[in-house]
Amino acid sequence: MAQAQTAEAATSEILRLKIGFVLPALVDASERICRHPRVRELYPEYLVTSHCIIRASVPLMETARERALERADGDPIAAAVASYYEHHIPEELHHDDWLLDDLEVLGHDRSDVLARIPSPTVAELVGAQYYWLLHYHPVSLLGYIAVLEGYPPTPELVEGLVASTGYDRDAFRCVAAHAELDPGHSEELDELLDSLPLTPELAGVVGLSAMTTVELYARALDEVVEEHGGG
Amino acid sequence: MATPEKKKGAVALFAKKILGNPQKRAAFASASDADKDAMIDAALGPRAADLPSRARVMFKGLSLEELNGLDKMQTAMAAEPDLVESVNTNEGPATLAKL
Repeated sequence: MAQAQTAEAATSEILRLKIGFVLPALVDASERICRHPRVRELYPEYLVTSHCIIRASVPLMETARERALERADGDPIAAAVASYYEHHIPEELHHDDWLLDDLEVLGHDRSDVLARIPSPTVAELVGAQYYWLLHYHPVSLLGYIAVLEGYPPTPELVEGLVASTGYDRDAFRCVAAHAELDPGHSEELDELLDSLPLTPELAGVVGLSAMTTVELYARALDEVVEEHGGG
Repeated sequence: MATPEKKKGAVALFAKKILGNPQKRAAFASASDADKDAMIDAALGPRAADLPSRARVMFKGLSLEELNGLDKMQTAMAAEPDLVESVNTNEGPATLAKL
């Protein structure tokens, strides 16, 4: 099959352009939380929503790795992404626990957080990824990862949240850690993408996965404001 | 060289004339590379020259499913030229998203 990568632009570059086209929706949703007059009330709810999403990250990659390994014979792209997931899974382990730790600093009991039912939007965000990686191709998850690791909170954004919420700095360890870790992870992902001979169809599902992630993550953040921002 | 406003206008025009029309979206997705260029040029007219080259490459590489997704998200698309032209992962805008 024909390759999607053109002489004019690398696969990662094209993916970043696709994401960049829709990213303002996620940037705006993030700013609506950070600049909200009741950000102190919103921050714990943002952490709860983040936990609902992040606790699925490692299971998603484990499922994608297993599916990729099943296809690896005769599918070099599956073999390559299986290796990537294998390498990346340990780097993401226990990040959901960091969020629970931060919520405990804010007085939220871990068992109470875990008992809360994740929203349909979160289920849609994560569930779409399970569908694509199980029923189409496990390379699709790279679009999700490209969004979630590609545009992390900056140290300035974290400092702004510390100041505007008035919470102890210990309640921001997860957000601060991602500000530090994710840029390096994103570079690894771009190197992988540029090494893969993606067909137009596989480049398409990675792009669709990324764009859908932007849309649904933005909706999940907006729901935090709508449901807990006090009207 | 097109100004940022002109670039933004060209991207918006592509969104309106091709993305926003289901028949044109489908035709665009299945067209050859040369025909996609011709469709863009026809839709944008003299403003085709304002479309950033990297945005043109990106649009031409989109699948029908991606074009449909972009149309759905048109209200969220800012079409900011600096975003359309941004290629550096680490210089992208910050969000609250985390893996």
